[in-house]
Order: sequence, then C-alpha cells, then structure tokens
Amino acid sequence: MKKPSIATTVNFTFLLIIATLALIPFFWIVVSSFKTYKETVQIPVVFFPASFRNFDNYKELFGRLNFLVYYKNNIINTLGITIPQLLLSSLAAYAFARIDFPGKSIIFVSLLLALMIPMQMILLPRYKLILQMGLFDSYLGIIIPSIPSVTTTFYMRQQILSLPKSLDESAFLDGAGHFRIFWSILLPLCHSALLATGIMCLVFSWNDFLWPLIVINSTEKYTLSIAVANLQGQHLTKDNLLLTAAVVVSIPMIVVFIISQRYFIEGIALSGIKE
Amino acid sequence: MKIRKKHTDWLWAYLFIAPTVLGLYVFFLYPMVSSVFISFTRWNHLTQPVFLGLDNYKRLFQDPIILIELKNTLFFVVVSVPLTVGLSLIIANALNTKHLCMKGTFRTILFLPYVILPVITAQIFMIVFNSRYGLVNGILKIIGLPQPSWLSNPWLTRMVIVIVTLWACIGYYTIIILAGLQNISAQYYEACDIDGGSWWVKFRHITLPLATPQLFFCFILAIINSFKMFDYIFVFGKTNVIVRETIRTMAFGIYERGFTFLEMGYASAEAIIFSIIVLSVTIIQNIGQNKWVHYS
Repeated sequence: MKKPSIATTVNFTFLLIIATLALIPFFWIVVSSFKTYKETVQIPVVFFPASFRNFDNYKELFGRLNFLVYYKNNIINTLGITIPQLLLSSLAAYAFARIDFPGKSIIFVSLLLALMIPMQMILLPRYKLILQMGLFDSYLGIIIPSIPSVTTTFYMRQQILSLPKSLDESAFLDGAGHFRIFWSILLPLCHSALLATGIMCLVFSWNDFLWPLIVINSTEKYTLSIAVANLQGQHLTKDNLLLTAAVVVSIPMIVVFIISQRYFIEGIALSGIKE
Repeated sequence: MKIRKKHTDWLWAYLFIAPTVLGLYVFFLYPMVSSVFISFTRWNHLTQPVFLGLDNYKRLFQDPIILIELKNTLFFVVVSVPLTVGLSLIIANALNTKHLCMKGTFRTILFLPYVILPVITAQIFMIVFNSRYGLVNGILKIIGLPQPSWLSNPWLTRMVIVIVTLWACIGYYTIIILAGLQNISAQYYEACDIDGGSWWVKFRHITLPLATPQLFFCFILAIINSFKMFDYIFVFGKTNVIVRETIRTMAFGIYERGFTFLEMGYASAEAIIFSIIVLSVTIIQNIGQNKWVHYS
C-alpha cells in the first residue's frame, strides 16, 4: 500500500473540516430536540440535555400542534404532484421525441418560455385563476398548477431520444400502437431517469413554501413548511420545539435521499452535463 | 392509407402533449401575459380593477422601499453567488482526488442540507446565531472572542443569510461540478506530470478550463435562485420588523405588496421589473459565455 501523498492528506483534512461544519446544525437540532425550554435558553450554552429520554417536545408536536395532520397533507400534495408529473411529462416527452406533428417545434420553443419565467411574475394572476376555478384553500389548488413541468418533459425527452428507434419499429410491426410502445417498451427502459427526476420533484414539492402559503388558508390544510413557519413567533412556541420540528420534518427527506442517493446524484450530475 | 395513418399519428401526439402543454399555458404563460395587464391597474382582488396606465411604474421608480429591495437583491446575488460557486469548485476539486478515503461519505454529508426545508434551515440558523443563547456565541464566549448580536445588526443578518445559502446549496453545485471534473481525461494530468507541472498549473490550465461548462451552468442556476430567494427573508424578518425592513428583497416585496397589502397592480409592476432584470442578467450571461466557457 502506497503512502498517501501530501495533496491527498491536505484535501482529506479540508473535506473533514467542511463536512464537520456542515454537520453542526444537524447535531444541534438533534441534541436540542431533547432539551427542556430552560436548557435551550440557558447561558452559558448547554451542549447536551440532562436526559436523552425527554420526549416531551416530540409529544407536544404530534399532540397539541397536530403535526401528524401536516405530515398527511404534505404526503398527499407531494405524491399528488410527483406521480402525475412523471406520467404526463413522459407522455409529452414521447410525442416530442418520436412523433412528427404540425406545430411541434413552435410548441416546444414556447415551453422554453415557461421555463424562463420567474415564479414571482406569475404568482398574482395564478392566484386569481385558482380563485376563479374554485380551487382556493384546497389540495388541488397546490397540486394541479405544479403538475406540468418543462424540466421533467425536457429531461425525459432526452432519455427517450437516446433509446434506439429500432425498438419502436419492431413493436410497431407487431401491431403495437403509440401508447403501447410508450407504456410497455420505452417507459420501462427509462426507469432510472424516471427515478432521478421523480426524486428531484419529490424534494421540490415537499419543500415548496411560497405557493402553498398563497393557496392554503385553513389550518387543517397547512403543509409542513407553513406549519413550521407559523410556529415561529407564537407566544407558546419555544426554540426547543422549533428545533424538534426541524428533526421531525427533515427525517423523511433525509431517508429518501440516503436510500436513493445514486439516482439523486445521477439526476443532478446529468442536468449539469446536458447544458 | 398512408395519409390516414399520419393523421392518427398527429391525433396521438396532440393527445399526449395536451395535459402538459395546456397545463403550462394555463398556469405559466397565461398568468405571465395577464400580469402585464394587471400591472397597469389598481386592484385589491376583491373589487374590479381600475385602469391606471403607467402610474404604478412611475410610483415604483420613486419608492425608496423598492430601492432598498433592489439593493438587497443585488447584494445577495453579488456576494453569495461567487462564494457558492467558488467554494463548490474547491470542494469538488478536493473530492476528485485519487485514492481519497470516505469520498462517498463526504459527498453525502455535503449534499444532506439541500433536502432540508428552506423554512427550517432559516429557523435553525436563527437559533444557532441567537445573540444570547445561540451555539455560535456560546462557542465564541468559550474561546474568549467578542459575541456580536448577529440578528439585530442588518449587515450581520445579511451575512448570516449568506451563510445559510452556502450551507443549504453547496452540495448541489458540488455534485454538478464534480460530474464535470470526473469527465476530464486522466491523460491531460499525466501529460502535465511528465512536464513537471505543479498542482496549481494543473488546476489553472486543465481543471478550470475543462470545468467551465459546469461552472457556467452553476452560475446561471445560482444567480436565478439568489434572485428568487424568498423563504429565508420571510423567516428572518417574521418576528422583527426592523430587520425585515432592512433585509427585504424584491421577491419578498412582491409577495408582501400583493398578499399582505392587497396591492395587486403595484406588486405586478414590481414583478415585471423584477422579471426583466432576471431575464437580462441571464441573457447577458449567455452572450458572455463565449468569452470564457470551453465546450470540448
């Protein structure tokens, strides 16, 4: 075994320092979630709680503060956006990649325009639209506008373009229609791309704040983001509770990320190379 | 026979693209056009809009609060974007070292903050930087350094928000850049070794030029994300009005004018100016890329 070079040692130390700094906030929310209010605001700072078996904060979040309901809302919204987005975007991607139809390039370019618009510009008219459609203060008001996605469509189109055309031709000779070719032949071959984009969409919808903040009004329909933002500054809310909420709300996405890391990294890395 | 087949093909294509394309037209392009019209009116979204002509725009250019928002928005772009991309490049370069142990672990840890809700991230940092019982000042006290009150001084608050941005998104940009670095052929570095080039020569003349496509992509993304920053400002300014008034950005201003003060027309005018700024910056970058981006 060769001795590591100086460069390797320097880089390793540098990364170790950066990684430690990155982990400090995680460390802090976990230890603080077991603290009492008194321990949280004590001066000088208390690093560890007296007991790691103090689950009062967790009990309060899921009890008095209804976090189970917000969890449920978030899961409904997130899945309600991600699954239709993947299906509908891939369907459109198939048409753009494989079928020649009049107006194709104009429509495709017009989608680019939608990609460039900052959310702030469309916020107010879109809110008005949601009011008129009767979707204000409903899950559908969050879900429906978030389903159509330019990036997912573009990405899936790239994936389908990279598959050999002979696949569809032989299926076509066997009498398969467009939907059959898409659904049973091409889509299964895109599974890793679907996972990569799907996970990005999942994180994005789980974390979204601005749009749900505008659409949702009644407390029982709050998403986790809104619920957490609302905790802050309330008279009864203490910092130890906020930090416990941080743990509770972050765990699902951390688990999703760790399980599906490969697809995550693949998806992000590809987006950078494609440009 | 052939013509009929072609037409059914078209029908399928339109059917396939309809949900996505119509959805994007209804929820993105129509609101975009509509916001131009709203910006010429006074409208509180309860009564009928009143046509004002260019009044909203005239007011916009004389409004001192809009000027503060513009300055803050540009401050965050100018300070946090180069720091984010620069640090991501250094980290990606370190991760790209041969025979490095725990490479995967480092990458995972650095990316982890990206999946945390931005609202939560902001709150964690507000508590960590609390001037009395926060972790940072606790540590500074132990070392014997002065303990500034981070969240009541506007400049320090802005710096804390820059730190929050760095913590949250460096992992994301690092992965994009790292993917580019891993595509660089080892032959270049071997040739450089034979010529006796130092690590700096390698970095400056091989790594940096060949990573420019990824760096360019990161700059575009980071700038757009910085312009759009809303969640952090919302949380940091929520409980302290004085802080809110000094750190507010345009993205926050549009929201507040539209949904708190119910001035939809005025907010739309601000949104349009905001979009023009964001689009021009992106276009300028695209034109400027020929000067420094190398596509192999």
